[in-house]
Amino acid sequence: MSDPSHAFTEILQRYERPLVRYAFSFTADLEDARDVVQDVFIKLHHHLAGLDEDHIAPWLFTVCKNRALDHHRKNSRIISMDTETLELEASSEPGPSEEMETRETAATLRQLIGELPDRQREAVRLKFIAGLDYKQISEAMKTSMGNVGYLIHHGVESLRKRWQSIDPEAALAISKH
Amino acid sequence: MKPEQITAWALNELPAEDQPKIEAALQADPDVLYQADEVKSFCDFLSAELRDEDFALSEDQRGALAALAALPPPTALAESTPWWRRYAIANIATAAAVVVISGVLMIKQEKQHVTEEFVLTGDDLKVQAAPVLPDKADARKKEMSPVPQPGKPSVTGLGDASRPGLVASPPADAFIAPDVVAAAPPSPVLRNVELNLGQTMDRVIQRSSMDRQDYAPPEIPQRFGYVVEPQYDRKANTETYSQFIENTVQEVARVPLSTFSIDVDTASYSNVRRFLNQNMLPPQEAVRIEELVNYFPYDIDGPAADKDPFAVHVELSQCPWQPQHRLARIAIKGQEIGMEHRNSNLVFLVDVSGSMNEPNKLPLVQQSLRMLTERLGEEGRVSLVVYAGQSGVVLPSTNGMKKAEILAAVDNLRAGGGTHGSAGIKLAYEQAVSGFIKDGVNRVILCTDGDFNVGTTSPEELEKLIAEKARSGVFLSVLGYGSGNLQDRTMETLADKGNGNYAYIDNLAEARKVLVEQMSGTLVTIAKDVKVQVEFNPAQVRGYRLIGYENRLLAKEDFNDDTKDAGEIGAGHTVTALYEIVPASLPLDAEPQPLVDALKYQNQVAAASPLPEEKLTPAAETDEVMTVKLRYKKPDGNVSQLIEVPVKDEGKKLKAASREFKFTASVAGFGLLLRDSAYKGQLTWDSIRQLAREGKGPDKNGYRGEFLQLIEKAAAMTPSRPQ
Repeated sequence: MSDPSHAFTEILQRYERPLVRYAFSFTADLEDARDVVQDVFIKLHHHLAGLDEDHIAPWLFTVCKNRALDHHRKNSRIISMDTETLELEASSEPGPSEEMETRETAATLRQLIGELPDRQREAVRLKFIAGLDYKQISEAMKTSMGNVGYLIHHGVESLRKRWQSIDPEAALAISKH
Repeated sequence: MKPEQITAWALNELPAEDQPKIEAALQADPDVLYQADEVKSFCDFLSAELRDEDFALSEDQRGALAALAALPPPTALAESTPWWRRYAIANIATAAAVVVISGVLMIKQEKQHVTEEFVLTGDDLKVQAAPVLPDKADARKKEMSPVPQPGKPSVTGLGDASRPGLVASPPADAFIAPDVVAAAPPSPVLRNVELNLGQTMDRVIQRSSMDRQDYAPPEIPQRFGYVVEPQYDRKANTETYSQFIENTVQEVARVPLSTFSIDVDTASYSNVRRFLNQNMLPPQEAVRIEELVNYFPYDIDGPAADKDPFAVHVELSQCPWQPQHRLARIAIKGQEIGMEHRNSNLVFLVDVSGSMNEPNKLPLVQQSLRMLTERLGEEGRVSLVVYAGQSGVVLPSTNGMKKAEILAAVDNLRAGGGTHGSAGIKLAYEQAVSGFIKDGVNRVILCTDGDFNVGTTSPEELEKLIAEKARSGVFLSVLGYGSGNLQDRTMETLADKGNGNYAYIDNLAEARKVLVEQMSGTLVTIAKDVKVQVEFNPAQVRGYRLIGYENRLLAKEDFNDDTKDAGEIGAGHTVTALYEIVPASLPLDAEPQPLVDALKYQNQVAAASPLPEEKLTPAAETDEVMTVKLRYKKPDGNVSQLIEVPVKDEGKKLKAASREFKFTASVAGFGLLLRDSAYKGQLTWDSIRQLAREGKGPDKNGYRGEFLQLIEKAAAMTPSRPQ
């Protein structure tokens, strides 16, 4: 990892997909998520020298979240004047985000996660969507590992209950022994 | 135990020091264990559903970022500059740099253009076209079948759009391998890459500034995609399995001998279990019946002391799925050798590439190695070699008593980088050879997800390398980890060529089974190149079918050929082979399935009735059904020895069959149904469940109980298949 360009490529390779997934959970639009993640990597390129290897994952996902929220705020302001363009775009491109939504289970789960209390939602996203471990999550959320365990436990438990109430049959199949 | 700890356990996130305590607490209380399993199933389900590999950057963005990697970071910018200005400046600077590089290269390149151009014919395109974003309607299907599905092309028609079916699209995850980017442009091909990246970069930067309607996919990146194609990282293209075709029914009159190499691998079972636990049916290619059957320890007698290294037992009974047929179970049991007082020289070779950075990969590898280390005594020596982009010896050969040292090295492992498998393998074998212990256990233990993507690591080359290294007398164990990227085929082949075994570790319990409970079987080889040849008596048997072992078949001549490689048996291992047998006494028209249609140009004599009397030897007059022959070599020997076992059929009904027979039959049936085999006959999930229950026995380690749960899961998922 001594060579910075090598390091950058490795990070890109490893975190590209987790970051796009994570950004998507805020933007709900694949194109926006991609733009956010591209920005994150450009920012990474500027800061790479000052980053310790152990802190890269928490750093990336923190920046990603902030960028996604910025992006979201900006977009929600301009959306009214821009609908025509967006529609045009939607018809000319394959529209991966809509297709993606046909994966109902994943979409439903993402929605349920979106309904969790803030901190739990954050922890659950970092765990299951971003794939971070407890230690990295604790750093990204600036809290203790014990707290991460607590948040994830309660997040998972309430997701499980909600999932069961939505789809008792599928839920049964998941947990059937 | 706190509820958070159960969730942490389910996610493999327990601190190492809590691990044994929690595991013990779980084992002690079935209710809590049940609850914990439920949490784990749900967590696995969440991970599986939410880790959608299709969420990725676009081709151009990725190309642009890869180009950015080659540029030095802008250090001159003051921290006080607002982020958006830094940004704009950086972008402009980057773009300018790229334009300059492109320009220079373009001029340089002009003259050589004709010879250097990467020429692609239509056929090349067709072959290399890889998915960009697979149809989402197909997303499920894709999960089920690991074979890449042709996706929707993002850009069509490179040159020749009129030819039907010819679409060009860059590979989905065309990634510049680190080596390519890091290197200065020494070769014409590399210059091409950078040139194209420059152009892509401009466009993407434009696009980032919300200039979307102007955005048109650049044409050139296709070429760049193909230029680096041989090295790209197939992340999205999940898991690979070898295709194989089920063994068919053979006629004894035509093919009286059946020859195969034994197989002690068990990976297919744990892999199938992973799929079922995620509520998915495994791809048919992932179901290797012999590995399912051989996953379970069986309660059979080992060899008498001072005799052969293993005992052979054969049992015949009614075939559960074809009651008029017989099922022969050949079970080979290796002698038990305790690991405790064996001199051993173990080299852990751990893949620490970026793809291992998942909770169920490197952390699980570390836990596995910790468990194994705990078991080592002073006769054991351990070294630790890692590989990613580079490989290195992390821990030189260390005495097993220095546990703190070993554990510290294990705990220090971190994932990152590409996967240069061959260099690591070479280094590990060098370590093993330099510390070689005569008459001891010399073994490389490779822990990986099998995704070798850097360097000259085509499967064929790796195989050659391993086969060559195996001659040094060092054995190989391959432990497969993780999901989503599992290169099942590569790993099985490596273990096969490297005189070794392959196990798939999907959780801590599996690690314990392979490395602690069956440690000596995994690590101590008692016989190598073990081959089986069965000769059927045509007076008794009309046809037979070997169940499983499709990729272990040998030609009949190979049996006596000591240069032909075959499988290894570990201490205490049980290896089982099953034959479905069509008795000669069965009236022709009574068969559930005719073997083949009547021949048009030959009389029926040879096709379906016993051979004429004069062709039979006196031995055929006996009531022997078959003779099982085994050849094996001592672990350090080169000359094989032969064991022969004649077998008679006592006409046992299924009810009277032994417990182990019933359980084996149930596992094989489970595989037949999962493969939706043409030979599944009258099998139903109910009949499999019934057999498994009758065959369950004391089930000390709970493996059979778990199998019963898998039957329920599989049954619930295949309602549409005929029951």
